[in-house]
Amino acid sequence: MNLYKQKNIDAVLVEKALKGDTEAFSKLVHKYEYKLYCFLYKITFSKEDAEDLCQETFIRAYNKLYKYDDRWAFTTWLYKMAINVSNNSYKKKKHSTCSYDEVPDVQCDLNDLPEIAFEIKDNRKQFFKLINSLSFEQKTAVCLRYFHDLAYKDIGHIMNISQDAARMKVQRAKNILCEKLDQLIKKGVI
Amino acid sequence: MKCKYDNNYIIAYNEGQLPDAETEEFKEHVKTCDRCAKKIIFLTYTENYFRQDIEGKHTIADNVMASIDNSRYSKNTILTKATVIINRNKSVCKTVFPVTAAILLAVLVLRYNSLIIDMKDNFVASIKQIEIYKEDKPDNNSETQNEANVRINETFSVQDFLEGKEFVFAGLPVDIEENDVINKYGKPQIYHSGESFEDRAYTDNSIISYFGVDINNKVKNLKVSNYYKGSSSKGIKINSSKEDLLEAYGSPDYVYENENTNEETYYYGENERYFIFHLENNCINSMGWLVDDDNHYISMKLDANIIKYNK
Repeated sequence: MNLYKQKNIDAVLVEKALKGDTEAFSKLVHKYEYKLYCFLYKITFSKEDAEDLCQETFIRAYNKLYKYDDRWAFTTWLYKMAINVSNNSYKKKKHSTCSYDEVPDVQCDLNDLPEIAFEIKDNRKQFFKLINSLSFEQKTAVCLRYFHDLAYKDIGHIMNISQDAARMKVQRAKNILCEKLDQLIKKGVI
Repeated sequence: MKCKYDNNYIIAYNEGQLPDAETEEFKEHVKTCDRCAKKIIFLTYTENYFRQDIEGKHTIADNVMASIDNSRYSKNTILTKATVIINRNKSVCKTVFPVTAAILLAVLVLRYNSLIIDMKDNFVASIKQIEIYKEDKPDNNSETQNEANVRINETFSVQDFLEGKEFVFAGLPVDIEENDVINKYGKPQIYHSGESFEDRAYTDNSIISYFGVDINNKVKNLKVSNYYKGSSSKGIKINSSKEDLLEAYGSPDYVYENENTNEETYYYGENERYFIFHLENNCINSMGWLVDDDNHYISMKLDANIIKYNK
């Protein structure tokens, strides 16, 4: 199904929900809850936080549904809202402790460098800590870039920043990760 | 051997942005450089972490649907409909609203032009009044200070006025015209047209409370309010007692007494000139002059028994 049709289906569901059809909104929730949950989990490293934020995002989306502009994809609008909800939660420090042990294993094709691949498997918790040490905005930009394969233009629109600023955020995040990894290597941690 | 590749170069390699030759060269380097290899792996690991789906089903839909207000949109209010339409047509609204507002404004200006001019004049007049009131309170501005001093220290001679000599009162000569008063004190708020005499009145805070003009816009009658600070050459000013007034100027030629506590005393001079003190509770609360050229004003009041000949 192409994006245009997808966009149209979502717009019709929103239209129905605005006429009082809650079943239509329920379809939207079922359709996007998993993707949104994954997005929030990758940023928070916490199942509880991801579930809470996901739920709060959908409730707020329903309450503000009349503000949705169907020129944009419903997902773009939903992610904008999720970022606002998460940002507020971060500011209020309303997040639980991260549980890195629960994070599923990351598949990594490392045929060229099997020895290092082995080391990385031992250090996965350190790696998650490094990723989680990025700022909320940096994690958001990287997540939108790789989890959703979004173009920098779309990332900029969701985050209310320019296309170049979005590209810089991803670039800066990678630089920070390399710098922090350098420090761990020097300390002999990794 | 120290590694010559910086983080930006490693990131560029990882994103596949290096030319083929450099890519091959760097691949060879990574085989011998533990640091670069770890960074390449870590960047790939990070990308994969974000790229990868999470296994398992997470259903929050039931909780969401139980938490929302199901009747929120079933009412489908006009406000909701309007908001949806405005949101969907934001780009159109951005153009239409300002244009509509501009057209409406233009129509209003054309339709109520005179009303708007009056409103503007009243506004300007009220601003001027406030400025005058401010002048009564001395400040550091020398020009304002001078203006204030004129009123505070101004001494006028009732006798000079009654004898037809040169006379300045509230900073204005006797042979003033309407525009002179307006230029100095702003536009009055109340206009009243009579057959041969027109009244002008200020409502509040002005030094001038009232003036009347003839058909040639010459001021015939000028009265100051209790904001006026000047005094007569015999020391009579606002708030002076009736006793002091009578002692200074003797018994008035005409007098008006009403049933309340107001009283007007008229001192008659040459060429139908009158200086009038207005009393309330036996104290002066305003005063002014009248040049009754055609003897119309006083005759009318005498005929109507409004004032009485006192001597």
